[in-house]
Amino acid sequence: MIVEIGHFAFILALAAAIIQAVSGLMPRDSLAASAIAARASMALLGLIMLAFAGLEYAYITSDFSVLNVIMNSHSLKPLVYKIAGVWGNHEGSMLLWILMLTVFGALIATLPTIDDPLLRRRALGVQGLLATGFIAFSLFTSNPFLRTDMPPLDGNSLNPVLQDLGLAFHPPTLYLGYVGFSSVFSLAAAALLTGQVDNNWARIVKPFVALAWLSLSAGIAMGSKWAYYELGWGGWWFWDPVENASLLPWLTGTALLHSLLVLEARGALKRWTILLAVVSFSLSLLGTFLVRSGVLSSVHAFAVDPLRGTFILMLLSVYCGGAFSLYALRAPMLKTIRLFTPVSRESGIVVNNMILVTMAATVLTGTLYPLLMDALGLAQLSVGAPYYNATVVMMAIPLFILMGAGPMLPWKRPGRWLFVRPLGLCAVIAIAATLISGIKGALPMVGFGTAVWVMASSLSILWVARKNITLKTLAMSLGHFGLGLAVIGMMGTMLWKTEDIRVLNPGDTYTVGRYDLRFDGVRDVFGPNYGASEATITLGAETLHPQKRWYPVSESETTESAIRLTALDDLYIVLGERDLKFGPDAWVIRTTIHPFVSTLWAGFSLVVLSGLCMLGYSFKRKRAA
Amino acid sequence: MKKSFITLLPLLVFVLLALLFADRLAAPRMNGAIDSPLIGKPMPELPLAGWPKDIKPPYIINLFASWCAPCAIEHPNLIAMQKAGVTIIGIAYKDTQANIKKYLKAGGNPYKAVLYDDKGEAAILLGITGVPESFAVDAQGIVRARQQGPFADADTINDFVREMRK
Amino acid sequence: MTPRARARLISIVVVILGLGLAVGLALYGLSGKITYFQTPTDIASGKLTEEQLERTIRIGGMVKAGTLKQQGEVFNFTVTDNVSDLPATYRGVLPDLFREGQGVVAYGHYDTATKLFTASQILAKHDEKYMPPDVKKGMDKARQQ
Repeated sequence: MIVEIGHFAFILALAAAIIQAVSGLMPRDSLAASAIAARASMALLGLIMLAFAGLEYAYITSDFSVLNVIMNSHSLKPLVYKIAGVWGNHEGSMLLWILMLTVFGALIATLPTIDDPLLRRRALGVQGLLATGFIAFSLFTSNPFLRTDMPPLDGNSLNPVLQDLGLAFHPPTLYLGYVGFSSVFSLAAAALLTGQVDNNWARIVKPFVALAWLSLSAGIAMGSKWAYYELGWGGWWFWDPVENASLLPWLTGTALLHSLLVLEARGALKRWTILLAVVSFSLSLLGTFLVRSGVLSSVHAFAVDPLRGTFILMLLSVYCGGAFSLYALRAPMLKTIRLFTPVSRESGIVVNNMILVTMAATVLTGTLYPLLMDALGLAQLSVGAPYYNATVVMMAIPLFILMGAGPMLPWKRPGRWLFVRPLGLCAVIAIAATLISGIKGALPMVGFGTAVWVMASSLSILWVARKNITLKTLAMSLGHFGLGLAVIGMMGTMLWKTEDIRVLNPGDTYTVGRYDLRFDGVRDVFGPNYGASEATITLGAETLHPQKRWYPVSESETTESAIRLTALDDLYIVLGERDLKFGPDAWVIRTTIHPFVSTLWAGFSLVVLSGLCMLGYSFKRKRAA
Repeated sequence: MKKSFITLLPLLVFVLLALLFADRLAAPRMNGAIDSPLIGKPMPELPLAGWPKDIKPPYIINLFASWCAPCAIEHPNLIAMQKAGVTIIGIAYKDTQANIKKYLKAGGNPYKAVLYDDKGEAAILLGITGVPESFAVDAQGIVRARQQGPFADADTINDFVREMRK
Repeated sequence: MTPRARARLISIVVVILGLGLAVGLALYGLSGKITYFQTPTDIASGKLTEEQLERTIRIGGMVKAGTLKQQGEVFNFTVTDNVSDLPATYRGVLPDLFREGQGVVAYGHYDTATKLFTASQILAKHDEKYMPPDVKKGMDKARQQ
């Protein structure tokens, strides 16, 4: 019954979305239309929340008459994974996507910092249009509420690899990011429609960009962390098409939040900023298409269905095609300010944007290249880390150099070359640190040097402003510092790791790097829905327990690595196969040491924190004229 | 209205991309049939009691169970196939006679014969990777196709039956 | 030249230079750093050139039943596309869902002297029923030949 209510609410939501779209986009200026649009968005939010609650109810009560629950849940699953199971599949995750869409719609409707009623109304209209398309898509091709006449005794269980807290809560965070850019998109389209893009618009759109960007950053970081400890390789980024799909809007989103600074401060870069706003969400939609259509092979992809792919492509064409057409028509009418002095904050940000967008274009090319080659019938190939390391990683170097210098550059006029001294000091620190560290090789040295450069520069900015640190300054410094820190972590895991693979018998001792370890055998243990072989590795007074788990319902096996995190490095141990040829209890153990991984997570955390700071200072009402 | 070529660029790029995606969507798709080592070889003799010697190929061998959710989902498709004249032999994998009888009573019985593989020995011989799984055996007794997972759509079913009839 | 025109010229030059650099990098990356996908039949037929074999290649196929042998941390197995067999070896911990009779994707090098494929990385899959479309395509193609 409750599921039926949810389903019904979902259908009503389609009507609410249509009302919102129509009242928002109707050409005539009308107070009534504004009110209707706003109310429709609140009703839409309520209805979708009801629908989502209905589906959650089905999962929590293990209602196996609902097809979606059968395919993706099981009565033995711990409650938290039942709850998270709702979005662990295509249909349910679409509902989550739509929920986020309506949350942002409601934010557009209610946020008091939006002082232009026409802008608000148009933005609601566009947001309603988005909601209409996606609710229709879900209802007609991916309805999570479908029932079956033959409820089985139990469900089919979620893949155990996905039964993990980090992974369970990574989609909502990521979607908050992806879908958050929808509000930015709507506000941009609305601005093109009203013809007013200026400092005020930049102020209005900022909190949305901040929220979307920080969520996306957090989502990507969570995904990387999960990959690191779950997949058993110690890798945290694979340039998988679906990962790239999340990186693309992040890159353009970062460019956007920088160009907004220029738009707000100087009223310049209007066309460019609007374009970035539209492109960022288009990239989110592109990601949605790539993941759910099956055109790209990826370990992340949901089940393949060409009908759904076609529907999403149609939505993409309407939304992106529509927005880009609107841009082509209306953007030329925006008054632009052009003259920038060569060495200034504005030009620095322009170069920053150019590099970020070029990086995004490069990632997009690499991701779509196999598709293109296949379409032309030329070759079956895959584009992996070597390509990205040669291109995107290289581009990051000038970006980082700029990242250190940029925040110290003055706005507007040149001549105030005061920044040269502190920058010179940072350069000296960076070079000294690189030489002292003993790192060899041109690329590692440059990487390390630029990371230290950025960190030193960020700290010096905080020092200079120490008597009065604003949230704005904090946001910038934390963000840049965090990235520099993260780069050191990245280098650690990629360049300096130590790996050891060997067969051990109980009681055997061995040494890897700075760790003296002893293998103490393997025993059987049981979890709520799995059985496992658990090894014990002793390090001094501590023990580590890598496992090999067997989940009987889905008949699959997973490896749980044991990780010991310290500030200096991670000790990462994986249990392999038993081999009786070497002894009655002989097992293969892989031990890896990943230096500086902690700085990777610390760096990411600081980046997310900087986004929160940005969110904090962006809720400004218009300054009294 | 000032015309600007540059502002047209994003739209052009998007259109090209959309064309690429449309082409890839229209390309022939992978279905659930993944080649098994048995394909092209005769159906092995299965260690099951009561193998119906009087039922001659072509037929489909379908491994299923009452505790298996996707089996329940594909069940109506099996009924439809049987009504369309396809012979289906069912092998109940790791299940009991009582449960199977209940299962077939509830959903209908598409099988010309049902055999019980309670230890899973036949399943190992067939190299299945899970249930449901089906094998298309042609008139000469050669395995032509294998379907991993449930029969989900008409195209898959038609392709499968066509292989069997070759 | 007016300052405005000069500023414009400078920015255009910078953009073109930057773009040129980026495109150059991308082309360099795409040309030399792509991993081509081969089937066991491709390799067995001997039609791969020296240059192709020097690179890392991506092999797709199925792990032939009965061929997986373990010697401590070293695994030897055969990858097949049901037409040709390719002996392979891997040192390390096998990913979950690696099984005989299942699809596998591996990166590594093929040695024409020992006729052995040494895998440096074996891909884990998130769904045991999942076979990457390009693996299936390769296997179909091999069967047709």
